[in-house]
Amino acid sequence: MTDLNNLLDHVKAPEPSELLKARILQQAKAQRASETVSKNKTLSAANDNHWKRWAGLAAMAIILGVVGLTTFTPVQTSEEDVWAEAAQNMGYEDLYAWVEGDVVEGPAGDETSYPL
Amino acid sequence: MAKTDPDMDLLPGLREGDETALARLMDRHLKTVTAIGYYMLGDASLAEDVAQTTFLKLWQTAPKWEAGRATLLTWMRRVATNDCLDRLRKKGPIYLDHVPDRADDTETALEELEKNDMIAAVRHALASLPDTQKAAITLSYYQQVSQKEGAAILDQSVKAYESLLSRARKNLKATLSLLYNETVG
Repeated sequence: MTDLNNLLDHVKAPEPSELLKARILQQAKAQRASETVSKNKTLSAANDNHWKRWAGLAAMAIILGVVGLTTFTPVQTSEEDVWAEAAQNMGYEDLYAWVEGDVVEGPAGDETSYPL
Repeated sequence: MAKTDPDMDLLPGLREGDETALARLMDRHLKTVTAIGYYMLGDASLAEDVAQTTFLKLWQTAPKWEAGRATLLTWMRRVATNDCLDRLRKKGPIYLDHVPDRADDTETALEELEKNDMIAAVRHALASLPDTQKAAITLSYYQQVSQKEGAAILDQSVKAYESLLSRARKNLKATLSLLYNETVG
């Protein structure tokens, strides 16, 4: 009869590789380094309210808005002025004047007014 | 009374993150912890992964270690065993068949063949055990831990652990008797 223990003795765990210890130490060192970096990060004060940071920006925006509104003076233009400007921009200055009844120099110095 | 931890001298260094203390702990127990992985998983490379995980877990836990509850080695055995059980549950038996090197001059080729067959048979028998029985045999026979410590590692009562161990040995004998066509006692 074969003894079980004798049979179990035939299976032997090998020695760990030489690199294993070095590998574990390297990992351990890296873990410590990352933990140290995390601890050294600047932490905000316990009573710091992040809204305080935005409050200053909001106040500035309101002030600028108020200043902008109070200094803004819309130009009072008549409809005629608007049309005149548009005509000038398009190069229809003379045509416009003709339509409105102003004297326009026609071909060969013909000075004719064409009342409406 | 709490068992005195023979590695207590390293605990202050481990708590402070002293890598020298970790290196010394590995000098003492790296082979033991790696062996747990080898007997349970049957692969040297996986066994080293288990050992690495175990020592790094201890490294992370050391600053909060409460002395007097368990020895460092018992704690590491437990972590390693549980890691192996998790791997076995996820992937099933991972035994690989190693082909050993050619016989040396002191043994005849036939004896070497018989020896290799025997090793393969025992490895097969171990692999065929249920996971917790495999753990019990690894801890009691290969790690030589007491019934009490083995029960603590597997989180069982001593009686349950003894029963587990008894079933493991019975199953091994049955499997090996079939393989050898002779009674294994």
